[in-house]
Amino acid sequence: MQSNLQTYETIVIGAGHAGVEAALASARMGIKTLCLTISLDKVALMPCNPSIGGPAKGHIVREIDALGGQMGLTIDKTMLQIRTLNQKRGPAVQALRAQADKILYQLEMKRVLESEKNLFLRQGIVCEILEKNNKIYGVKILDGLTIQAKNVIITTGTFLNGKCHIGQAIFSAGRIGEPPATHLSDSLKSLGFRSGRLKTGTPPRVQASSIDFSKLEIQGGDEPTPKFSFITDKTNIKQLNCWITHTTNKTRQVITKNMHLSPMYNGQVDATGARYCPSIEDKFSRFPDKPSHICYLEPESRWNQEIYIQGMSTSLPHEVQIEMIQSLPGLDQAIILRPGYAVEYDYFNPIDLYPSLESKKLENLYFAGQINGTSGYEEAAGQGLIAGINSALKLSNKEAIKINRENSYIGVLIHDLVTKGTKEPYRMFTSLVEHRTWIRHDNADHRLTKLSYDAGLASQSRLLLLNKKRENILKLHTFLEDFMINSSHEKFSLIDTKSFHGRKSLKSLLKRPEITLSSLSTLEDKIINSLKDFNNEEITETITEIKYEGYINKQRNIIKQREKMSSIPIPKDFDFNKIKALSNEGRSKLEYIRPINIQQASLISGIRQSDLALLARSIHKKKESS
Amino acid sequence: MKNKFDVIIVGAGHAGTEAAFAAANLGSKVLLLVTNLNCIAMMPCNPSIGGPGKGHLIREIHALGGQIAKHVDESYLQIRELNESRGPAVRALRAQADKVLYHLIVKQAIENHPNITLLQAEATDIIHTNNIVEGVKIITGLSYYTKSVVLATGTFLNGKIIIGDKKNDGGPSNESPTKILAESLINLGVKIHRLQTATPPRIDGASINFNNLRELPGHEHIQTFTGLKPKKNQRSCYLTFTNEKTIKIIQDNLKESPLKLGNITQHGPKHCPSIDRKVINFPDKHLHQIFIEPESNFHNEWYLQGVTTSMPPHIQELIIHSIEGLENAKIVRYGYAIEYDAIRGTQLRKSMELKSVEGLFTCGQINGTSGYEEAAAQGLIAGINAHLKAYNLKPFILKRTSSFIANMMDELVTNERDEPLRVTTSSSEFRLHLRTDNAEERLTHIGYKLGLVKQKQFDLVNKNKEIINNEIKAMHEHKIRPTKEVLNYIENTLKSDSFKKPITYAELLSRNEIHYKNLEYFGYKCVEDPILIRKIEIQLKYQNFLDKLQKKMKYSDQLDDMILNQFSYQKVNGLSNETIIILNKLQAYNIGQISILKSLKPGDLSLIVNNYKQNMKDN
Repeated sequence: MQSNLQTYETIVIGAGHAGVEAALASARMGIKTLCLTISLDKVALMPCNPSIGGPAKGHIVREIDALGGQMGLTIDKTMLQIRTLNQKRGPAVQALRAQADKILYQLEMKRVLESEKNLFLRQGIVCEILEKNNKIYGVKILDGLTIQAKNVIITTGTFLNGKCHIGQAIFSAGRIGEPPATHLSDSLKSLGFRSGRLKTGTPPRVQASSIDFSKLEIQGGDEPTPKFSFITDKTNIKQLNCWITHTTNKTRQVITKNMHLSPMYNGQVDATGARYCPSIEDKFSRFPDKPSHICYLEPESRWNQEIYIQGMSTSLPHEVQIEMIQSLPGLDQAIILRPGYAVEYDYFNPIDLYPSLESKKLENLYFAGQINGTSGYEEAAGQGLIAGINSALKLSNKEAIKINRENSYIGVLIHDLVTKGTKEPYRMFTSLVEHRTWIRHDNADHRLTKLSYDAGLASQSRLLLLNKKRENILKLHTFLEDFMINSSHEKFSLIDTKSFHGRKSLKSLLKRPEITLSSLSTLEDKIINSLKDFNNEEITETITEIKYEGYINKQRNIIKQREKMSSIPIPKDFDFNKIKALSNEGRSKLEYIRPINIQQASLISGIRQSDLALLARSIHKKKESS
Repeated sequence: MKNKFDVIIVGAGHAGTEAAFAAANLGSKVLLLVTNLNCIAMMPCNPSIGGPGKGHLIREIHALGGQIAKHVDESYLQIRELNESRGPAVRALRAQADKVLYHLIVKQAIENHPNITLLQAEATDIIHTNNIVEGVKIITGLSYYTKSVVLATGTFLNGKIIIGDKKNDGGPSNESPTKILAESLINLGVKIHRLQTATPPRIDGASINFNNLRELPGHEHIQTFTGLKPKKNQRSCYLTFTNEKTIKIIQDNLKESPLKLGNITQHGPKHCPSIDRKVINFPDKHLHQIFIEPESNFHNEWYLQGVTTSMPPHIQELIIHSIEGLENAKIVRYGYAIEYDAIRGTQLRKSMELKSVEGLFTCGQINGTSGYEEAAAQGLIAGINAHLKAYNLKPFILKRTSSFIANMMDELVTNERDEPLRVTTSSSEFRLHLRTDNAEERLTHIGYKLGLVKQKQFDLVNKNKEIINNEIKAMHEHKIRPTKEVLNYIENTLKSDSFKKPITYAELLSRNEIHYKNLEYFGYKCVEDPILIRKIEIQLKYQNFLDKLQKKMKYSDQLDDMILNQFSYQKVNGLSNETIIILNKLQAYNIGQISILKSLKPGDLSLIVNNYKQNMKDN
């Protein structure tokens, strides 16, 4: 190696949550992968909230795990607290949320990356994407090295032309204290990529010893501790508390009085922020009548005293932040260790991507994470994983993995991104998922593990574990179907439900919303004994399948139909102008987005049913004629 | 007022944190500013603390009541005593630190200190009126007020990272450099010059072949920096060497070295040369030692001590792969040089306060020193003096006979130099007295009087001192007569020379081959503590040399006691105008400081001393 040239198969730029999943997936699929990061001390850093999961986000983490990704395993090892949210609500919206030990999470993730055989982790600042004849061939790093690769995955987060704002203070930074990446953004723009500006923000961090916790409501974790990963054996942690407080009248006064000093409101920043992760000034201006907003106080690590104030994201001036934080009950003496800030950055419109996350403009180039205009570690990791898998599949000339709207949150996320593009940071919600009764967090393995196994990522042991689980669930179904209860059963009257005639199976009884498995187990010891053969996860999934059978079947039928339709591909070079009868709006949107199949086209807003029919017919004709 | 502090410290590296602990432990309310909380007490270069000279500094900081020794002791991967077989003056402790753990422990200690307020913010301006400090302005626009500001910005000021012909803005480990503060200093009239330092590549441990390398395990029979028994299960370091192939690669590619390209200042640390520099200076030497050192238990990065370079990455690959054990090494961070703004130490008083800006103290790498230990030692002194300033108290000045710290400080503020200053054991003429074993005896009473050393530590040191003194006295009093049995033991068991007249224990112990514990044979009840035994032995074995040194030390102390207060050099007959200009600029604290001024002509010192004595008599 006499020249300043190195060669890998795939280069991942960035080692945040998207980058680490992309790099690990790629390497685990046998691809010689180089992961470049500005600083090796910042691998998988959590620059904002110290938590992973929550509704929809928790679903994504479970899916990442089912697909053989890393996030679930690492958070299981490094969490400070974990809870199942929405336990009293329907199974679709139930989700896990963990408090992470930020420091351990980072260190553990770095260790995992270091021990991956085909993965090369290295510090380096990429300044240029190298391209020839619309094909990528490598990157250039700031210290002069040219690194060749067949594929490049860009996961640069908020670093591209990052600018931080605290009140009137503006400074160039990817995150506070870290330099932004300026050259790479220019390189991408000069290649013709469409970029925009987005912004996100983070709340101040407060020193634990300056908080009077006795005035706050405690929020503890769940016991026994649930886990994210399907293959984590068990989690063995002493959980820490979080706390709850509320904004006061004083808080409102401070913020309203100083609203004109917020960079978001005085025109200093014109980038678009995350609607669903609003700053505290957003909340007070959007809901002027709401007297109080909730704030969660979350520990960031066992190793330090930093407390994250969830709900207080702000870029108001430092002195206003102090006043605002000290207006919260229990925080009147609070010391801010890190002021909150907003960061604006370049993103690249994901409408330029295929659902595989490969760029339409430049073959073999993939984009994942916040650079695509999403917000959140989980959304980033989900995309990173898919980009990593698809990049590896592409190198062995295989089709992209079939992640779609019908099988996963990640599918919905990516589908929305590549079909609608983003104008504001995209955040995942359960409400965005049409088939959420089927696409639940408990059955992520059922939905996805086989797909990933076939693609070459998920291990055989994952598949075996899933098969065993499915087997048990079927056994449990059979047991519940076969076990009959007589209407005259003496203990049945004790259950608060309508009586019936003749005999009914446990399964049919369970379909009644008011009946739980534990109430039925009071009927006979035999039931309790038989249930001992099944673990909690198997039981929960079975019960959900029984109670929601109707909805689930309906959704799966729609999915089947959709899949049929989506199987009609639109040729890459298809000329939409040739279909004369298309509506003008339809034509221009199809031309702009260039969907890869009818299903993707159907989800573009403004595309009429008649357009779709014309399109399907035209493609069919073209096929026959060729 | 909430935004008023006794002392404000800018920077939380090894100088800044030590300064913060010192001022806070003395009772000051301290504000500690750092651009990134994740970088507190970061070790951007070697993962080790100590070594000859540097280890002395750590022991002295500890004896004075500083914190670095404690934090290293809580986080080391390995600890060794270097030069064990050599004289006591050059023996030194050296620890491999767990970089990650060290950062976490120091950050914890800062967060838990009731007198330290920590804040992540870049300082942008020194607030002052007529060059008297009033506070610091930070990037968010807030101002904090104080009489004492300590700058400990390391290599961050206008940092540039250089690799090959590439030169880009950057702080250590690709952190953001700071730019605005340097302007504020220039506006204050502070003179700034450029220095550089560099770091070697880091290697993925899994790619190193350790099989044929010499293993360097930790020591378990020694004492740690704070005098504890070392832990078991220490990590090992490894030793390898450059070879002819390595040297050839470097020679063939020297044109790509920034040293030859000229895109970097030549002012780098003389005692820590890059491999390019070593090859330029010693073209015929093929074997250069390379120590392979683990950086942390939390990750698998290894440091290559001895191959500092800022050659282009592809040359670094060639160099590394030519070395035994590193044939397949994966470089995870390339070596680089960093160029940064530093201020000339001669602009400082001995208290580390800038002569031109009242209340502004600087310490660490910004002053043109190199090394964590040098930085920490300055931080301690600057922190103490910033506190004293805040309370309108007299500055704290150590005599040169007290410590390496004092020698370093005097050198730093007295003589101009173009390269970063590093402490070595040859830095002091009193080195036989300034040993690592007696740091407590030399300094703890000073730290106690100051208020930094706790009663318990002081009592323990005093108790030990008493035991040592009693023992030494006893050694001089006890005599042995040359009976047949005694001589048999001396000659045959201890392999020492016979003697005819009775001799004292002290005389016997001055022999190299005799150890204190041997006295038990004569029925003497020895003290058991190995730390004390060592101190007793060293003192007895080197008694003659130490006695001779006493005279020199006494003279040095006399000079240090001659404090210069409105002293007029004009009135000293025989001084040249040039010398008078130099001395007026120096504003020396005492004549001791003048005595080490390199540009002083022979004879000038006695002229000044005589004039000073005459003045004293006249008053």
